[in-house]
Amino acid sequence: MANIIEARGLSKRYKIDEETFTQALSNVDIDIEQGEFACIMGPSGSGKSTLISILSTIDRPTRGKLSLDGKSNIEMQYDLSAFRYENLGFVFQNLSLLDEYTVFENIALPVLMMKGKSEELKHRVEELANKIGIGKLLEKQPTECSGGEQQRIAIARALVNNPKILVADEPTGNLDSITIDEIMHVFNSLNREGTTILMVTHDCYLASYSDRMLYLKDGQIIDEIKKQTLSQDEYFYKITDITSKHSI
Amino acid sequence: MKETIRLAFKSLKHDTKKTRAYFLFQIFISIVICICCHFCADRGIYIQNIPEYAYEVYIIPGTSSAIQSFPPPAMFSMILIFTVSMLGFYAYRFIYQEQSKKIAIFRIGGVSTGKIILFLLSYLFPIILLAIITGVVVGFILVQVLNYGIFSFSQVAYPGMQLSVEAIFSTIIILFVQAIYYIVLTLGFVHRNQIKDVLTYSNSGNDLSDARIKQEVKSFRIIISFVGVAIVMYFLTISGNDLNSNLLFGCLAIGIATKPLIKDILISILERIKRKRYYTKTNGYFGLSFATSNLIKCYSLILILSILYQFSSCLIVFFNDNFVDLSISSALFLMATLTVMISIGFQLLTEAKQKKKEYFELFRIGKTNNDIKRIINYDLSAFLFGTYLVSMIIPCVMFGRALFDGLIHIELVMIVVGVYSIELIILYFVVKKGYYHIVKSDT
Repeated sequence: MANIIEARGLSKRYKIDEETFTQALSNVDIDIEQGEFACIMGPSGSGKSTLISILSTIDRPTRGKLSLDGKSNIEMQYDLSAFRYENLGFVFQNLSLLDEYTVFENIALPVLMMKGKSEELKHRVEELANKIGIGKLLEKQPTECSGGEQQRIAIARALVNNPKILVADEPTGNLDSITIDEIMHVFNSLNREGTTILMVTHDCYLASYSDRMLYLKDGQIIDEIKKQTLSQDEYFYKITDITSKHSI
Repeated sequence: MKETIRLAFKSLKHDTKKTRAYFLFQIFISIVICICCHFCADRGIYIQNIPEYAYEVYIIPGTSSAIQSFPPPAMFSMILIFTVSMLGFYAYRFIYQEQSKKIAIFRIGGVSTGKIILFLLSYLFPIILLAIITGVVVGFILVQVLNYGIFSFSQVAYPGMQLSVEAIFSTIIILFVQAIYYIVLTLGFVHRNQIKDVLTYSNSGNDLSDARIKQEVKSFRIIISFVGVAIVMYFLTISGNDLNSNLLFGCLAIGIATKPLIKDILISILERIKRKRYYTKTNGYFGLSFATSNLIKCYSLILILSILYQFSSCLIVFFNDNFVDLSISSALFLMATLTVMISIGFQLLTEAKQKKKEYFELFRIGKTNNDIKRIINYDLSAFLFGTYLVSMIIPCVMFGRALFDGLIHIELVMIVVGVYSIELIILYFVVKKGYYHIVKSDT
């Protein structure tokens, strides 16, 4: 299958003060196939959030080439908003819902702003909300919903444009284990329907839902494991082994 | 477009409480601009149209004297109009800070910059329009009240309510320019919005490429600043004893000279002091409330405050022999100091929003409410005490000499300094309360 994300020699360097620099990423090469569910793991400060920020166009690399859906990072800059609108959906640990709007408006926000209200949008939001189990909440305010429901709203908003890539940074942040399972099942079902998912997490259990796990340390990918024919439990144990090995 | 405007209005309705402070400040700004426009309209004779009245230039003893054609309070009003129009930026930035999360969500969802700007302008338009209309009406009424008061106390027959077309026209033009300035600011804010900083917890430092550019222009900026000072000082020398020219060029010289120098030299010294962490009473957290990037904005405000305070207090103290001068100078003094102090308040509270993450971390590592309050108290009191000292330098020198020469009354100097001190103390308590409230709100 064709690669939807291709990165070559990605580096990111930050200046802390006059004398100190931080090398957040150094020379990272990464390929994500279309329809793949990839997961990035690593200890705190390993550069995983920086990597996902760059791969999702939120941040720019200090050096290196990035290509998303066949477009280079330079081509994307010409109309980044349009590129994000058509290709990318984001889910963050920080839920980023707006309290003043209803659940419907929160989900439909980007489309409402860009194209206005339409019957087609209404059907799309209802369909999406029913699929991920928040169909009855559309007229409520986000503050009236539970943590799990709020995370589903954020996921629905990320999917409202029907993006090719879903980017998730610690998507189950402070949720309980039952809700985490439900959210991950939603991710799996989206992935089966063809959405490419790129997720950052420090949780081995969450990573076991993915097809491939990339382990990042000191700004470099130092290990990689594919699920292939392994069961979820076997895959989980392998991920645990790798994280234990590298954290010593 | 219709939907974007609807969402903006819905958002504004929800944020009524949050935008109240900004709304009141915009009214205050409009009042100040309206009053100042009346003070300097028609070459400064609108209020001061008492027959056979002329201003004498304050002359350093031993030099020649001259008659001033344009009254110094009118000249100061012009400077105040310009400054106050620009100071709206600080309150606007405070409002923008509230909207930064929303903008980041829009941008990440692929909403175009044009639509985001439309949203922000629709959000602010009702507040600004209502504030401007209210401010101009209240300002006009206050001018009439002041005018009536001056004529009554001067025992000159009150000619009735007067309408200066020039004053009203210039007020509208200035507020219109200010509105355009806000549109330009909105563009800048949307472009500078960092999705990464707003929606994620990562805060790794400055991008290396930005840092490199800043480093390269640093020496160039210092040279430009010295050249600017030299040019201004030249004009200052040839302008002689004219108080207006001194006032104008003095402000320019201080502004051009110090801002880049402070940015490049003093900031690095301050950073080193912060790193030493010898302030044991705050467990080494002294200075946490201020981001280095914001120090320059705070410094600009302190500079503006001290300049306006110094010149307005000089107007009161040196032009006190006439009730008209004293009234107008006192009004200018109050308007100038209050506007800048409120702007400083907005700047500090904007920083509180930016510093939330750091304080959140302190709560997480077990710092108590009292610890946090202590850090905020020390930071704010040190900052405002510094502000007080800076703004006192020139009055001390000028008043000292004038007192020695027997030119001014000590009582008047004490009243001016006292009022200024009270204003700063009130600012300290209001900002302290607001700062703590903001820091605590998300924890």
